Amino acid sequence: MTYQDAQVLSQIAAFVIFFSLILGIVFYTFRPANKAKFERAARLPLESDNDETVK
Amino acid sequence: MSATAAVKPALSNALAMGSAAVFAALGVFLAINGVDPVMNLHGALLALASVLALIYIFTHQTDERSGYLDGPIRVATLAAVFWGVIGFAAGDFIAWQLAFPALNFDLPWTTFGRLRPLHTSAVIFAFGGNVLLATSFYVVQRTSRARMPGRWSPWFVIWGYQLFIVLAATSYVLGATQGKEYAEPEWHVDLFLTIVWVTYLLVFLGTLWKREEPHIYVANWFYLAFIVTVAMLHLVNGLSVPVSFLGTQSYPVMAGVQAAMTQWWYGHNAVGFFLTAGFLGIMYYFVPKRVERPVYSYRLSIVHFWSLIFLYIWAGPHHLHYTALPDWAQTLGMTFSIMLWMPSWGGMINGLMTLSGAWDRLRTDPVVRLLVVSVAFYGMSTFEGPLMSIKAVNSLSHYTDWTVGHVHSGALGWVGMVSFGAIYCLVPWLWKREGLYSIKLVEWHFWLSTIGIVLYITSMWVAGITQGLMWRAYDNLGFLKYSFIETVEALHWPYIIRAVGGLLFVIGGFVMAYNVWRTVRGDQPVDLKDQPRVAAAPELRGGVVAVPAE
Repeated sequence: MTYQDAQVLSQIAAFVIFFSLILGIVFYTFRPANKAKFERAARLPLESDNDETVK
Repeated sequence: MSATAAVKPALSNALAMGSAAVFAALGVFLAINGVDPVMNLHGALLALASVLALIYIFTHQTDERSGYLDGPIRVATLAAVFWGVIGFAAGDFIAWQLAFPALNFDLPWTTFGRLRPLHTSAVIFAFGGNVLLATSFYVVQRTSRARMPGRWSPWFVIWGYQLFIVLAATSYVLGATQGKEYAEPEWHVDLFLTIVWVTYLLVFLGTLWKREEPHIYVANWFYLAFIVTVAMLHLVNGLSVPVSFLGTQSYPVMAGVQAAMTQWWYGHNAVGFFLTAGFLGIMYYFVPKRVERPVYSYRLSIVHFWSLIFLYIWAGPHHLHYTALPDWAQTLGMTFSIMLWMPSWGGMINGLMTLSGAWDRLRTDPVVRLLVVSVAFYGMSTFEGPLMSIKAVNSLSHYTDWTVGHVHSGALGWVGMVSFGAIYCLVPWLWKREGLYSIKLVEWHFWLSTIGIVLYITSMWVAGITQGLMWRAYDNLGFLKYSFIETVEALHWPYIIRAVGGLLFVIGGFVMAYNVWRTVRGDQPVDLKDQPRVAAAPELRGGVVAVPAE
């Protein structure tokens, strides 16, 4: 394999990996099933002050 | 239950004392056998710190484990205030040196070249680093509803980090440096920091591992990205071969343009992950907490996180425009820097809009004002940065004081003010007080800092553009119109204005230190009626918990 081949292969591989990663993240973010989870998560800083129960 | 509770601390104590003894022995060995005075001094400091740790652990073997582990957070918070004041003062002193060079005193230890890394490391790593240690430990425990693991590891992280700061600072003043910006510590200090940092990562991950809350809150993602990336940057940029294992001198593994690119890959991601991602973790916890509103858009925060960390890592080459770095790499750095406008402004909008329905807090609570103005400065400096990374703009701005002004609008405006906001929140919460000693003094601190920053950045815009234009001015015969010293003369007054702005910022730091000290001491707050309910420690807030309307 020449340097040129290695370069082309690695560029295609990187494109596929990063592009699908971003697609996966966008899917995770906007999936309707996650809506309730994220709405609860947005309020997390407002809870959990009380440290009595922490192990 | 009781059996394991008794055994576990015994093992932890033995391991901690064993490690302290190993470090103490190593320190004594280096103090005696080190081949240069800096190594002798560092050996002695390591031995001293380890012996003190050993004595402390020996006399504190029983573990009163209940609730969150806040002791190390208290230490880091006070350390942040302490190093902050020193770092700001060192910065203002070197600012006056630039206006009046006689202030170098003709002594090697007090020259600009040695005090400047002392200033940058003190504010970034000592002040900023301690703020990040304190807030990350606070936030990860609260949002995971879990106590940090380990009896002594969190303490080692905090005190080991302070020792790293002392080792780094003493090296610079005594002239031992790798000469790489923000990565000045020599190889042996780098190795020590690596041990501390890996322990930090393990404590943080261990807390997430133990979490009772199923979802990992977004602030923790930012903190984790900061910890992991800084470890990677530190290891790669620190690769060097010591001349002797008993001396401080070393040579980097990489040379030439590879070394330069690695250095600015490190340097820009120190900005992106240390000074941005870590402090965004602060924004995502402390802004909602202080204004008692949920995060404006949690979805936006996820997109913000992934796009920010993916883009930042490529932006480094913009520090090397018009150098031996290949053109394609320069263009790549510029392109990714411009793309960073999107996540930066998305994050800023998310932080600001969290105040929806609570905008009155901006008027009534100066701590909220510090947090919000910091986010505004974040937006401003992340607009300016990509602009300056454009090659045409960079040909004017590079090597001028515009760069210095840009860095300080980010460092004083964003990092500084968000840290002050977080410290003012944390101190009454950690020391179980009803509020800060004085909210009026926070108001003073806010205005001193804000006016100081405005003087700083406006004078540096003027200085930088003046400098850039003078350097590129030719006469009609094609000769340079100005000699270098003429550009230096032209900057005298902007330098004085900058130093005055810096002085206001330093005075603000002292006001904060005084306020924190009175609060920690337990003095009765002088203006409790003017402070919001959330200023008090959680257990002292009383009444019903406010549930913001949807």
